[in-house]
Amino acid sequence: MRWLNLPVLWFLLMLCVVSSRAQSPDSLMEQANLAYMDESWNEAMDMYETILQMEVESAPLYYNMGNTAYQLGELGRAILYYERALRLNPSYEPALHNLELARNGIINPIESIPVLFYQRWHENFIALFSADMWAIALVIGLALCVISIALFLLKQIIWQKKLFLTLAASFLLITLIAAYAAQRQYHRLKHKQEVIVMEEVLTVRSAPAGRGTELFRVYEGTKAEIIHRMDSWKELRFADGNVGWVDAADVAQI
Amino acid sequence: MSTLVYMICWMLLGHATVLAGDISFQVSTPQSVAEGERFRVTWTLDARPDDFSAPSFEDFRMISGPSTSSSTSTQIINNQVTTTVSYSFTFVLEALEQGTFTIPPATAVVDGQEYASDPGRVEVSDAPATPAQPHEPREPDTAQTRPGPDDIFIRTEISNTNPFRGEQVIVSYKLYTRLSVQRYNIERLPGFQGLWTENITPSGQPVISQEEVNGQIYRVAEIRRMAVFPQRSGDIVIDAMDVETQVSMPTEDRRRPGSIFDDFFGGSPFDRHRTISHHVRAEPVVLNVQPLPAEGQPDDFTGLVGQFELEASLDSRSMDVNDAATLQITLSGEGNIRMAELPEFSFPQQLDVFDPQVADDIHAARSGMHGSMIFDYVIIARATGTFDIPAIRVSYFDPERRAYRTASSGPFSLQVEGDPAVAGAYPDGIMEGRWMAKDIRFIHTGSVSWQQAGEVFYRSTRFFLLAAIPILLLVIFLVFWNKHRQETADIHGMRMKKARKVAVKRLKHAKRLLRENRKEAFFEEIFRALWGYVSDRLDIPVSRLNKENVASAFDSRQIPSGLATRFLDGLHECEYARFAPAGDESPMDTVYNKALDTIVAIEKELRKNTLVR
Repeated sequence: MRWLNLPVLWFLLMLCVVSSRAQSPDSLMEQANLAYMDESWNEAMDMYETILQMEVESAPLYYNMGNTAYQLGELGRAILYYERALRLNPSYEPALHNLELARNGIINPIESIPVLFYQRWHENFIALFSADMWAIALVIGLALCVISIALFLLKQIIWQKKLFLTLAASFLLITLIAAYAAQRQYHRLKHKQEVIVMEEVLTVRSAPAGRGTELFRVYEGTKAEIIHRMDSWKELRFADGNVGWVDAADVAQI
Repeated sequence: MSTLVYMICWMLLGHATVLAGDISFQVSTPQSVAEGERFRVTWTLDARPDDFSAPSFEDFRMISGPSTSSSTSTQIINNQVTTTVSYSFTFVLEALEQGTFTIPPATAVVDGQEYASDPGRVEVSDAPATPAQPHEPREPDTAQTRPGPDDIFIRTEISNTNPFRGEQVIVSYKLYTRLSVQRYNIERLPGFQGLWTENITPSGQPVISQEEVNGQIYRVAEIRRMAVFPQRSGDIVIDAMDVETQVSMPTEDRRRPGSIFDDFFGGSPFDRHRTISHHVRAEPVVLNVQPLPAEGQPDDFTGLVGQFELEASLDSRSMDVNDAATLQITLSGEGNIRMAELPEFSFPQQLDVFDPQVADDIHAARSGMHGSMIFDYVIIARATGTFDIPAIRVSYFDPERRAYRTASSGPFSLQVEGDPAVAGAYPDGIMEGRWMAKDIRFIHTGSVSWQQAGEVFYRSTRFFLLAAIPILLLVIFLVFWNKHRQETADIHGMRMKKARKVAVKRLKHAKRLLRENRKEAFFEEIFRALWGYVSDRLDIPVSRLNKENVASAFDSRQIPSGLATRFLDGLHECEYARFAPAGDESPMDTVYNKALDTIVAIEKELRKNTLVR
């Protein structure tokens, strides 16, 4: 009889494991959204964070977390989450809107360096889609290009041949542009790492050590780009072009 | 001589030596004082001191001192002249605690010699001290009569010792006296922790009335009257009030027993009076403040306690858009009206209502604070129509009825006319699309597509596979297509390419036959040249060669139908010549030229329409 018990035990154990994992990101998200609507912000935030612990992410999740932090009055965190949402989906309109509102609420004496109009257009164009969306565009463009080439070869009549040749060239151009943009976005994602200042007031130093000269101060919610790392220190470049070292614990990576 | 010297010495020093022997240095204090009472401590010295140092009064608070006075008296008795001097140092102290205290000795230096006084003893009791017996002779300089507790005292009258929180309570301090009080001065006002106070003491001299207490007639003056409003519930202590009075006392001799005669005529202008200052204290009082009942408390209750009335008036009932109207709300009554604030009223959205201007008209009367608060709301209509301003309501607690009540006025209706577009003075006058507030967008609800954290599709294996598929398909297609082209090129393509050469060859052969005049062979050769060319060039198998197929093939390749006719005519001529009787046929060279022209023309057309491979 004892040998019978063993599989039953295993079955029960498996059941427990399964039921503990039963909380899918979707159901958790739903619960968290309900808590948000109930204005229990802390509860909602806890649940959203639980979803993140499942090693999944999505732009709406970060967006909702940003809203919750905003409601909690933690503007630095709200900005961080909106930026994370936008990292996954750069054209996420509600996140752009709320990010701007959150930015209005912080002390931000940093003026960004104005960029030339064509640089801005270039940046804006690349930021239209995320790396993944550009990659999908690339694949689709490539497929259409191949189909067009095949049709060009198969067709005998001259205007049809002309048409498919033009189409093939267009799709090839689209594919190349998508490849370029995807590469840029991918690079930004992987190599251009940005942080948000999480401390209310943060002193930026000239060296990666506590005794480095205090250069200037930045405030919660300010965005900066990491240019170097050393131990627990990060060298940051701010929007106004100023560079200095801060303790990694005082900033959070987007 | 020695006598003279001695005499001089005596004159210079002897005086001091003599006096040094019996210098009197005494301290005089009252025997007992009440706690908080002020009293004098006087040291008297009958010599001129070079230095005087007072002890530290550790158990008392020093109010003032030392005040120094000196007196000299000269007596001539039996021709002997005696001069006495007296110096006094007076301190005014306040008793802090109950108990018996010792005033340490003071020291004085007279002619280089130090003297110390006796220590003084003071008993501090909680009750007002029984004054020193007026009949008892006291220290010569300070001997004075003091008024007794029955002679002068203060009574505190409180209208209600169990008020509700916020209820008006009248506190009245009355000075009862049997003596002639010339002046009084409130030294210390009571403290009011947890009370809001308003002074309602009538200005000017207090009205004096007469009252009988314990069979004695007192003159009574109300020296202070206050309206207090408890700000919290529980026991609230109104601290003691100290009053310094200047009391006119009959002099010592007037009080001697036996001077009944003078007493009888008390107050005669010949009386000798002495004005002394006397300290009177009103004892602390406790208010037991009840909390306002929670039961039935309206939501809009803001803490008004008393009796109130509300009146609201709108200065115009109809107005043009963007004009202003004034809603005046007057809250009047008795109670804590100064703290009155109106609840938030909900006006229609189309009306811009500014924060009210508040004016008060509050008076202090004997019965307490009463008056009115006037709230002026300026209303600007931003749209046309008829708008209802709801009734204005103010809730208050009536302590007499022990219940909450609501005073109300209105509602009003406001007729607004005119064209809202003509909003010259107010550029933001149009309600539509006006920003009320900026807020974040609502959270995302609904379905979410999840991805593994940190995962990027671009450059992933999946991406490379997906991108490779079209390229792979293209390669496969090209391979197949090429193979197919080669196959077709062998059969048809080659034939097509050779079609012209074959035709040229046949035509050359035909030309030779023409020269040899072999008629039948010539026509046959021409026929084959034409047929063969079209069969090869237009890819029509020989088995399917007929006129219909040729016509449709010409048509599909967009060759003008004239050419097809010419081609078919040529064929027809050849056939006819081959089988027709001799001499009836067309001249051979004409047929030859015609066939050549036709082939050249077809070739031209085909080249025009088809890409040469």
